[in-house]
Amino acid sequence: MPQNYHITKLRQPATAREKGLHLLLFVGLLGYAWYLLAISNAQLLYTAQDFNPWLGTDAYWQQMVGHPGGWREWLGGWCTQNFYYPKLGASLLVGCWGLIAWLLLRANRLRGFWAALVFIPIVALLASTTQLGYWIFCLKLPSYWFGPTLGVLAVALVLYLYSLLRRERYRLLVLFVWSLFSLPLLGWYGTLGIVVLLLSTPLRTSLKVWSCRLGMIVLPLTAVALWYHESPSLHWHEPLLLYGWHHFTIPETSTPLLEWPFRILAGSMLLLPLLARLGRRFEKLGVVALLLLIAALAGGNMLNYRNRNYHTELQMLRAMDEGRWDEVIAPMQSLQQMPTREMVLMTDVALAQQGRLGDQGFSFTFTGIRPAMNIDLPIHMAHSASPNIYYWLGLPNYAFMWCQEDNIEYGLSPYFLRMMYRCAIANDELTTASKYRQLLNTLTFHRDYEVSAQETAAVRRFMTRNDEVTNDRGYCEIYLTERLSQEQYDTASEQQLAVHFAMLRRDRLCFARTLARYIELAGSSARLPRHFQEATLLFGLSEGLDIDPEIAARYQSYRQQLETADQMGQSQESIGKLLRPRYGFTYWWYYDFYTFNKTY
Amino acid sequence: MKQLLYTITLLLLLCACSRSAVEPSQYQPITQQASILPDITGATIPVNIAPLNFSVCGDSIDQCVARFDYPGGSVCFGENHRVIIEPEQWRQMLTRCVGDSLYVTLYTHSAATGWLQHPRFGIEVVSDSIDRYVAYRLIPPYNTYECISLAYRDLESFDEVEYYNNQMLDNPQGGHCVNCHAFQSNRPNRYQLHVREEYGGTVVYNEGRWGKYNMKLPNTISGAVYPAWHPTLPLIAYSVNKTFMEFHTNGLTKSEVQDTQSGLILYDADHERVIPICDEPDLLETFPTWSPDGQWLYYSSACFTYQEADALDPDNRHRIKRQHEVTNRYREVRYDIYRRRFDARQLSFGEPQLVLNASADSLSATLPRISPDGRWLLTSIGGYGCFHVYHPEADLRLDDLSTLGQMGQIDSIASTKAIAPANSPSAESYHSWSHSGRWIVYQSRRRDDNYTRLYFSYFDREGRAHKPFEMPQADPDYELLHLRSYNIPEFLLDPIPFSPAQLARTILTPTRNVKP
Repeated sequence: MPQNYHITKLRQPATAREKGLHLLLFVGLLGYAWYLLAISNAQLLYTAQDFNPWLGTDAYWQQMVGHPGGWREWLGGWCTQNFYYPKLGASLLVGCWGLIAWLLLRANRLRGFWAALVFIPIVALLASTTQLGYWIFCLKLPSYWFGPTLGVLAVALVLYLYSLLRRERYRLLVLFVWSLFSLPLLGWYGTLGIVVLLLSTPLRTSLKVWSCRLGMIVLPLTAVALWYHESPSLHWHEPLLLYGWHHFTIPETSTPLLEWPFRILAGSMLLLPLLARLGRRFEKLGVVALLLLIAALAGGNMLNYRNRNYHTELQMLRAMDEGRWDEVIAPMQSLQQMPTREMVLMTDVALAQQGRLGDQGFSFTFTGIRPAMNIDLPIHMAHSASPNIYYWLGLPNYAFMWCQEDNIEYGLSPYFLRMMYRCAIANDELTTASKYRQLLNTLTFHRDYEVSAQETAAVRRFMTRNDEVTNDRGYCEIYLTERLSQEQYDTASEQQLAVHFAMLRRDRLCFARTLARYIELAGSSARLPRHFQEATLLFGLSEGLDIDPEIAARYQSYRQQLETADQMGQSQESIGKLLRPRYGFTYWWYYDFYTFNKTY
Repeated sequence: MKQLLYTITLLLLLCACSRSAVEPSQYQPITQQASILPDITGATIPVNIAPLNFSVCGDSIDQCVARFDYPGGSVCFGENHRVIIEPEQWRQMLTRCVGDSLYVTLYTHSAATGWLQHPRFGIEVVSDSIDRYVAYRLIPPYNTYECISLAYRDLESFDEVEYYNNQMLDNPQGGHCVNCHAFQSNRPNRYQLHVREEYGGTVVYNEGRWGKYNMKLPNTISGAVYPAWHPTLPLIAYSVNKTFMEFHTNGLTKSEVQDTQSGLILYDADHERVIPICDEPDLLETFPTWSPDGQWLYYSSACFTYQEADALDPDNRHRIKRQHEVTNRYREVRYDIYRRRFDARQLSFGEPQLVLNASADSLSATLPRISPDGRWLLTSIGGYGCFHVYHPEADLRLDDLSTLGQMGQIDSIASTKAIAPANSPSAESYHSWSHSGRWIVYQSRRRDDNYTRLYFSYFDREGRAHKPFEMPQADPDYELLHLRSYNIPEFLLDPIPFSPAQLARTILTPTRNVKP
């Protein structure tokens, strides 16, 4: 094949049909991607920026640029901030994808249906953003969201530039410069670019030309390797040429499945120049490219993590973080599926903050489960909602401890930074607070963040004077149940929290103690909250208390039905199922039938 | 082209000159001292220290100028709210001020007040040079060990060398912690470091020879923990500890590191063997240190008898029960300072002698460090426990060993007045002496109660500590945004002779068992 064959083809103007087809592909696929991100995954995008480790400080910059690909990661982290407004961030991301597709189309001179090939890397990028699920809380990769797009964009740009050059000497120069700088700037995307450039050049050429090309790669790469040789910022387990490859491995598990979008991404970028050659030769076989794209879309769709609990949790977490308590509770009122333990706990926090725990603590689904992913990920509340839960329940030291732990493990994100700032204020550590305030100032969308006096007061009312040396050993829910059920608060509204957690423990003595304190604070003539009345009936502690006759009658009816079912020899499980529609939201049902699901 | 070159040269010159500032001609003198960070007012500094740059606090301040008056001249610096001093001029100033004070007059400007002149303050310059380097660990402030680096700073400049970063060998399956680096007599040719979790073991660098060891013997309670190199011999005294960490639910003290069991061992680096020193069941012995002549081993020891845990579990198989009891009674654990005579030929130790009975005063004394002249005992003193770096009430305490009585116990009159300038209302802990004994480095949380920073205090020939200064930084705002704590500061006379890669390679080598 003559070397300038494709140039000749390029000069043939695209037909109107071809232009229309390309436009349709661009608008259709990018529109689909935007909808999937900005509308279906808006909560995910917001959470992505909230857990995005990025700081606008010199120290962070220095830390990032010390390793290969650090520049790309830094810039990717900066861009991820735009997910604060999901539609803005999604537009920026999809805009980059459109540019990548256009550059790849131009660089590879694809005609007809063969143009579909350039969207396969885009589909891989899209799949990588929607597949994460709970991995978002334990991802060690900075700039996961924009980093790959920036890497591919750089490769597409250099490929386009390369395709414009006619003389071998200029191409060699580009190869040399790219090989020298791309690895430090882009990490493994630099290596990908080198191979893509090599595959884009005419392969059938003299040994001398090939020697020059390889020389232009090997020499600068050797210099780069020597540069990083003694660097203490380099992770030794990562091969230099593949630095920054996306591993989904934590000490407890490893999931190669999530690496697939990146494998497809790398594979499609490498195959593109080769398939483009084929496409120019067999233009009529373009339908094959279309089929490949459809297969990629189907694969990407399978990876899209659609768990409704997950998306609801993200929504509730944000509402809790912002102290919008009605919005924390609202999803629990219209729930179609079994919630997670974290959702149940967040609801308890909202009710506690509103002083409604005694009346409504068992009025929503309390049978939470541990979230499950199709991959074996040990999910821990400690890495998601725990800091917020501890904070709002008056344990800022524990919230602070988990923020410190996680910001080192997963990077200092706005979520942890804001929380540490709030904890410092709640603890009256104003110098420390000012440190976090200044760090927040370096972020684009959190620079105006402030903690209201109302919020601090809402947290401080749950902070007791009782200082104990304890340890949650990573289990927020168990720790809270043990600790808060022993607490002695100063007002009846807060004491509801202690009574509620004593009820959760099914501990009669503990309940009696905390309830006595509640009555002391509320006054003996005050109305006892509904669930507390239910518990007093169940524990036989109702004597002398003003119990609503309707609740008392209901309890009698419950006992009768329970005994009848028991006499009929029904199993405990089937009795629970039988009584659940009528009594499922009472303390009695919780006490008799709720099996505590394993917390996490 | 020429024009371009001229323009660039001019711009470069302007940049170079921009640090010098002009003293304001019109100002209003006031009596209020400006608030500056780090606080260098009245500090005593060595002649060879890097420039003590500082910034003026206050949101409204948009400009400041500091005039430095020294014998034979004066010079002004200041840009925005920061005073960044030109290093060469700083060196000249200090040389001329030796034995005298460098005086600083600060002018601050805000839109509301215009220029204000604050009262002049002095910085005392002494001819006693500080050891050129200080080595430290940079750690997150709590119990995570994901990002730990080991570094040393040239105190005459702002150069910091990271000689190990645990991210180098971090792998997705699990990280590792590096802690307790220790050097022999302020020189880095003998060095040790512990590695925990992944690649666990103790790395020993003995004059060019590397080794990585498992220091745990069947009859000792753990691997080696807190180290102390003998001043001259290839010997390291270690504590062996069963340690755990818990957290306070309220207040400024956030964590407690406690021991359920501890003792002391001696490691002979030449023969790669470990000799147990002591492991009394009711005593928690820890933090060993040598007297400068190498004849005494000092250490902290607390008497703690288990009442519930051992009754419930006489075999002590369930460590958690002991942890519960220590946690429940954590305020009862108080350490005193003891010492034992060391026989270098037999590698044996004498009976314990009580040196400082801190528990008698309801105090706890840890981290004993003896001055190079052998006269002064510097400890970290707190209300209870052994990890005073987390205790806001913890201070440095100075005791005169020349007052040791017949029975060995020190006179109860502590020189609190002499060490007071070094202390603050926040936690002071982990201290070490310079080779001359004229400087002390220690970590303090005085800036914000959460992150430790390094402070250097002059210790004069009369045995008095002077007001300290914080480790200087090229950018005085650096520590404001810095999110790591400085930990285990140790003075060094020479730079560390090995590379990060050499240390990393040793960490990767298999661990060898020591001989009993």
